[in-house]
Amino acid sequence: MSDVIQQLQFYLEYPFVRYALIVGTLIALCSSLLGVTLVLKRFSFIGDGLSHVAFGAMAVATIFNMSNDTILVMPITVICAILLLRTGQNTQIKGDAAIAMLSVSSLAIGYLVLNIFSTSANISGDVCSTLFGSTSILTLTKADVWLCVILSVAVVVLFCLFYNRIFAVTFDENFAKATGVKANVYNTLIAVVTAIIIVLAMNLVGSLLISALVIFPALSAMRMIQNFKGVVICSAVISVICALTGMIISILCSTPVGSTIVAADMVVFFISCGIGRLKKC
Amino acid sequence: MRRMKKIVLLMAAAVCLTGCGQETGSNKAVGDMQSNVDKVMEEQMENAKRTTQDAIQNDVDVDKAIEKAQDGALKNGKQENDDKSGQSSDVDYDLTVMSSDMVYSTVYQMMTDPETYVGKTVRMNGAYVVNYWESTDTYYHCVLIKDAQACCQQGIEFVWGDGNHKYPDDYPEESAEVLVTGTFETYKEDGDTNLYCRLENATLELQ
Repeated sequence: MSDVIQQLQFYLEYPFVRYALIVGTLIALCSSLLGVTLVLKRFSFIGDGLSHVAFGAMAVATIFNMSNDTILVMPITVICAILLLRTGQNTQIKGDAAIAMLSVSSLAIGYLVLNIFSTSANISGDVCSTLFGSTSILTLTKADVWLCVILSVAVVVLFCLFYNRIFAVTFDENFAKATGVKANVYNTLIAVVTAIIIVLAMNLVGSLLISALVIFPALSAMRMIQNFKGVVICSAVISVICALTGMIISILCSTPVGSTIVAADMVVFFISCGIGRLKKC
Repeated sequence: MRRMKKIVLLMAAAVCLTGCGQETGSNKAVGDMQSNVDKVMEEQMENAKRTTQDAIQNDVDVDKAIEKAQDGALKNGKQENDDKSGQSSDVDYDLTVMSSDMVYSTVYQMMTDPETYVGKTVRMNGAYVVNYWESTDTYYHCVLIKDAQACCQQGIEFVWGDGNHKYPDDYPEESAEVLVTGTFETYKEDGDTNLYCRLENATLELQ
């Protein structure tokens, strides 16, 4: 055990490891906050859909040799998030079909574009790394870290400031509209914030595993706690602990970061299911 | 379910109570047991004394052997690495003691932020790869490392010693596992604006 701690202390001397832990913690915190809202609104797979849209945008940015692909990826993802979430319940193409449509189209077009206009010697490796987030979180620059910190703080502040209205729009949108709450505005806000978090989270767990980061902490919390505020707080705590645990285990044991974090989330989910059943008894 | 809990609690209490019960065996049996225990303890103490005397003699021999080994190691120019954190005293970045995620990330950082690493000593192991460029009429020797999923690879070029070694005579076969230690530097080729990185004055060992 002391060897493990010494090894970890050795790794923590490297600035990019500290950056990874800071950014990973903030991303996990933000995704868990939004996860509760998205799960309750039956938009659990929005993370998957938007991450595939972001992948497609990233592919287009790559073929144009853009030095900072966030300039293209973020706006496109935000627009798609607004299209998917802002329409709310009264839409012709319902949430799951719309997400599926955008998701597979973006993934296919992204991979097609990368293959036709390839600018890299190892397309499969780049795609694999983007989809599964093996070591992306350990390759952040200081500028990336500052961007993540600023956006994460903004997300947390927005969530705290508009907590009551987000709560109202989540549970009963029609009632919220009837009582004068501007549901469309808050749906748009949720959409924009979700898109931002998805783009940031791709660095942590990759495109394919983002849904786990959004869904698992919320579902784990819901197994144990029955009020909205408690679920949000518990979800945040679970998400941060799992993200930190997953990152540390992956760094020490040479496992892919994204998969390890999701595995930690899964373990906590099963434990919380057990706790939930014991509480009912 | 409540009934089940009560039953479980009762059973646990029963086990605890019976487990803590007093011995009621005969005194003679207890006395016999004690004398047997004493005998065993005495035997063990005698054995321990003999072992200690042998160990003292062995320690003297071991000390002499250690002194010889240390002299030999110093003569060969190798240093004992007692630092459990993995950093040798003469190497700034020892990638051989890191996990594959850390190795990949460190090499990536070297490529994207080379100024931080210029002048630092780096030790790494990986697959030996050589490339020939017609434009410069030069063989570029690299050591290649992979990430945990083995789908992404990165490498660093190195210059063995003063660069006078001849390829392919002096160099190992391609894809051979090698250990390279060198000083990180950046350079530019004539007529090329790109900045390249490599390990200069490197030592090369086959693994």
